[in-house]
Amino acid sequence: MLLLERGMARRRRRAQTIQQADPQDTLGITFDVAAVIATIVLVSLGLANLVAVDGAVAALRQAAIAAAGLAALAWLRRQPLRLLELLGWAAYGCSVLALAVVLVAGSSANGATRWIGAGALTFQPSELAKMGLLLGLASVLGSAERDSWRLAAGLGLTVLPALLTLMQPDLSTTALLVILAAAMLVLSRIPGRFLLPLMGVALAAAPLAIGLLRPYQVERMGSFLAGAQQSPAGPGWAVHQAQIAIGSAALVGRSSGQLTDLLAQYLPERDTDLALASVIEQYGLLTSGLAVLAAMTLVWRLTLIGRASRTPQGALTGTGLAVLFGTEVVVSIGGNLGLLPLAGVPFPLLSYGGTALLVHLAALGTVLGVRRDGARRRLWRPPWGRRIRPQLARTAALGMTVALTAFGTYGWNLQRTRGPELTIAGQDQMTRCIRLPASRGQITDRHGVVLATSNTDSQRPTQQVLTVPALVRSHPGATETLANLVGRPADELRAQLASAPATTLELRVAEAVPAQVADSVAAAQLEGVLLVPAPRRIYPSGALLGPLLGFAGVATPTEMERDPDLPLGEIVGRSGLERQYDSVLRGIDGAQCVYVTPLGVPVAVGPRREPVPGADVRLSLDLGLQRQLTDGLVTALRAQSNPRAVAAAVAMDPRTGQVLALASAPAYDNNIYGPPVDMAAVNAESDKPGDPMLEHASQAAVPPGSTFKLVIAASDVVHRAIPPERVIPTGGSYTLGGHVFHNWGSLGPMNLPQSIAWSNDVYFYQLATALGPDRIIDTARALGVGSATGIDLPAESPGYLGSPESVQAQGVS
Amino acid sequence: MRAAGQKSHRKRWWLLSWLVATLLLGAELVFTRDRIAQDVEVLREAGRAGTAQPTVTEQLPTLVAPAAPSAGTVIAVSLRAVDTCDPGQTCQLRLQVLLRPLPTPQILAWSYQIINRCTGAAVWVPGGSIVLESNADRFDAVRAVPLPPEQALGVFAVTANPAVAASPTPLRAPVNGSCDPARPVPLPAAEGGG
Repeated sequence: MLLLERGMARRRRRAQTIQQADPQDTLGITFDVAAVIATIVLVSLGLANLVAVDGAVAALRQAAIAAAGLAALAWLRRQPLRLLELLGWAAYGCSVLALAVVLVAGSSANGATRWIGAGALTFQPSELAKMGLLLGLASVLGSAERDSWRLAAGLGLTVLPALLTLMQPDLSTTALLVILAAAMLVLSRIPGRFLLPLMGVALAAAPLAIGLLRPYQVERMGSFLAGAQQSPAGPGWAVHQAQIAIGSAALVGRSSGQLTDLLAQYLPERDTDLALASVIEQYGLLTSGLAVLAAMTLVWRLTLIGRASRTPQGALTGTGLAVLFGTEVVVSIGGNLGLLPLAGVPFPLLSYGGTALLVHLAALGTVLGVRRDGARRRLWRPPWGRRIRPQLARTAALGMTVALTAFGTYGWNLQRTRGPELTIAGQDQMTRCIRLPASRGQITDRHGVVLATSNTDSQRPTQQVLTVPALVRSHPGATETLANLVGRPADELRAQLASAPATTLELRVAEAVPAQVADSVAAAQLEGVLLVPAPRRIYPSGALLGPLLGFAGVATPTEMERDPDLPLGEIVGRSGLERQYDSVLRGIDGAQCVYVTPLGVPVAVGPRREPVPGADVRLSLDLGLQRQLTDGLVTALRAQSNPRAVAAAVAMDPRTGQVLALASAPAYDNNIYGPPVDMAAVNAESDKPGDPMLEHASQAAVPPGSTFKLVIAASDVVHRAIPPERVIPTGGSYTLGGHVFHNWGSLGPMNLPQSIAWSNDVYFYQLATALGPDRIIDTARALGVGSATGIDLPAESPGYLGSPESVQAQGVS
Repeated sequence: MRAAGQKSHRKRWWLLSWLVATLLLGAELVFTRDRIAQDVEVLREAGRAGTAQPTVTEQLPTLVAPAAPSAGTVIAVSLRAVDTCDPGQTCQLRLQVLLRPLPTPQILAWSYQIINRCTGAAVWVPGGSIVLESNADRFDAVRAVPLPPEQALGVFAVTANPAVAASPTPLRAPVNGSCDPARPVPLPAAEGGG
């Protein structure tokens, strides 16, 4: 307490001394409140950003450096100009030395050698070079020497640190040093006739410098030229992420709570080059406006301090730092918004980086020292008319203000016009979804009897258990609980989960578990565990309708090509009515989404979209009639001696054309296709004679036999080669061209109706001969023989209608 | 006298400066123009690196649905081709409308918007209307829709009642359509049989 009182007394005495020396020289005049407040705002925002994106430890480290920097600022503010000049030369010398040391013993990161490491501390000499060059240039350019000497000295001072920085390579800092030097030359009123050739050289050299760029620098520049949207997953990634951060941010505060933490991970360099975008993402657009306002305030205060300085060196120090600081801010914000190449320039005072923070605060302290000197020694100032002020300082500050205002407006407009789109893009990139298959619709007969259904349609379907390994592993005890529930050894399940890469989205740990097990798993509510119905198709009528109904299975490449919107692994109709009406029967899949890190590792369960079941298809078929027709067909087929014989029958309603039954034999049981497919059974069916997998009524072209008599009869009704009512002799055989065609029995004289009733072969041989091929072919064609009916079944065969020419061409056996 | 000399000296400096700057830039343009153009192209290519090459289908302009995917009691509208669907043919389309059930019957009315993907021209084809029973939560139907004979079409189903909503993505006919000015447009399918 005694010490405190003594300290206060000392400060009171000191203030009294100052007031006695100059009644106006109070803290309010010698101390630039606006500049210091702007500085504190920027440093505080940087620390707040670090807390949000890197945690308290990084923020504390930066806070400690900020405290040291503020102490340096306070100390330098109180030093006389002469000492400041000496310190400037010391900084220049040290930085050049350190830059040389970096080249031989520096530490590297991202392909550049920029740091000198000493234990946990690292130091970036190129940052010190900025301050050294600023003060050095202010000293030589502010001298009263001839213009040519000042120019030569200024260029000489610049070359060394610029070259050493370029060799690291640190192109952005090199560019900043060159810009600083150029600005100082202009500010110090070096005549234009000297500067013009230099500008010519710079302009001429700029395009040639492309060849000197490193690959990553080429990508950044190219991304800027081509537009970040051209390669959002490549070189434009960083800018795209910055735009997402800006577009999806709130006006004030965080936009989406928990998701902001995850989204923040997608923003690269969020504590350095893209720190401003991060501040916007974490604290809102208006908060970042505070940073821009603070930066503008600092630029103007530094400029005005420089203009008010009593010495040319002080003037150049203030205005030079204003240009350097303003350029850094403009380039940084422009890069964040994608309006300038992302040059790797951090936001001064706000971005993470100990050396940069320390150097900038020290430089600010130096300029505040210039101000203090001007305020305390007003009488030493040259008269108003004889004072040499920096050239174009206010114009430069105004230009930066305009640029920053334009950038701020662009950022606000970006959020206003593209905000929703960028928000969706941000959420999409961190969302991966597991497909929840929709159940296929049922196929029923005309009375509603189920002919095809899915496992999911039953009251208690069997389910498969899927896991998101990274999520299950992140919950202690979840693996053991799940193992108990699905009846697997815990070690085995743990090994299975552990062997899956962290990015695995779904891993099946149990398939076709009974309903009660599924209920238990669902009740346990384990994060990252999903129950998905086993997608099995069930055909209760089996072989009775196998070829007609077809089957469903995993989409093949051909089907994927036919419908590019099909997701991989989708169950689609592969043949028969399942294929014909696949777009009706197939539902719309649902999805269980998870949120993933930029590396693709799932970290949280996301939204769920329930599947929409497919629609049912009701056929005109009558199952009873179908069974009856098939039984008759099979019985008839069994009576055949030819093992490869096939048979088909169609029963239609003549009034409507509806198909009431469509039988095919031999047939197969389509349940063998599951899924999963019973390959042994499929191979066995394939090897059977008679192509049981074909639906013979529509897909086979076979001789029609006696059914063709109706075509010949119809032709005779039209052409009356033998009047239908005329009775003609028939018998047991008919000879044509030396070949004897036998009747099925020896039959007597008959007319057309009687011949149809008795299926009299000889009558029709005679009638066909009388009609001739052309008339029969015409009638057959008119009745649709040899052309597809257009029935809604896939792969319909058009059949075959022969002619004398086609028979001749194929050869007659 | 001395001031005049200084002025003349400055003038000479200015002249020399302009000359040097002009010569430098001129020499660069003359001798390294191709090299600079190459470098700039390298930059542009680098900026586009990692960009997926657009497929033929993607080269066609993206069609925007004529209405929101859901509105009022219409939760979603979905349109699929029952079979292969080509321009100039009558296409069997499966329409599915998911609805919020109401205790009273709902009138569902819909139509189809067919867009020429090459020109952007749109035509409307009547769909139908139906009175759905109370508590109905979906409507599925297969309808024949005649498609005009163009090279590439996109079809949207649009409900007019109980609310205006559209299928979110166009049904493409054909799936891999392109706009080739040299290729003749497909002829319309013949009506009736011969």
